[in-house]
Amino acid sequence: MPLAPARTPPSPPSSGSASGFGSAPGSGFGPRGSTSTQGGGCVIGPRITVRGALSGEEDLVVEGRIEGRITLIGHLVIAPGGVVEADVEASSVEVRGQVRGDISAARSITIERGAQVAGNVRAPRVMIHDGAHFQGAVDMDVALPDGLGRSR
Amino acid sequence: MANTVIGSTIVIDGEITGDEDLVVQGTVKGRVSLRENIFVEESGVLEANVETATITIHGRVTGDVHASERAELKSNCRVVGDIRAPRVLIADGASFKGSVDMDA
Repeated sequence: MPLAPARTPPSPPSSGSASGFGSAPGSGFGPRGSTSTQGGGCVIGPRITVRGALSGEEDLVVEGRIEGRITLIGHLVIAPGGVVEADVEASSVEVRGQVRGDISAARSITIERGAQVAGNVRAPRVMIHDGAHFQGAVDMDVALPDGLGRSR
Repeated sequence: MANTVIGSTIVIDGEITGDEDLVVQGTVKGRVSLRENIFVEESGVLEANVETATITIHGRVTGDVHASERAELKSNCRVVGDIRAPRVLIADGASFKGSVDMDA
């Protein structure tokens, strides 16, 4: 994938510098366009806040803050610094950060050590690890929500 | 420090605020307010009013752009909206409809 080297979180020289990616005409991002295939991985960085509805069809890693709704066909990872105040629907969810809201997954929900979840979780498979904080209901008898039954 | 990449199948309807670089390969509708650099790639669609330090557009932007440092419209981009920035670069092949105000 031509964009692969640039897709994984690159190390930009410094966030404040204006000579970051786009200034050179032949820079890696510009002319190639996007060849996204599923599993490319979308990252919401630690200093970004999204307020509203987020939907998509690829894997997502949240290191920042999302308020509202997430509807994803793909694997959602909430990183240790991530804060999600939203209702979440995804194919599978891995929580290492904070979630306030209901989580509904077509395949599995994993709540790792150090995670804090306040809300209801619904999935055929739910894993809560030692050291996780969880408050809410667990529902493992779930009819797949429309559109999330696609196998990946 | 991670870079934020909004993948090509992602649609965000709402508001994005933050303090780091943003790469848009998908669709963002609403408002974007950052203090760093925004790169709208060729597959990116931004239907939003944008406030940022710099913006580099290869894709489509519909909305007003206010860049405190620089706004760059690359070839094959399509921009409809007003641009306010102290430095504006419009490359050959860019498609732009709107006004430019460099007194920002």
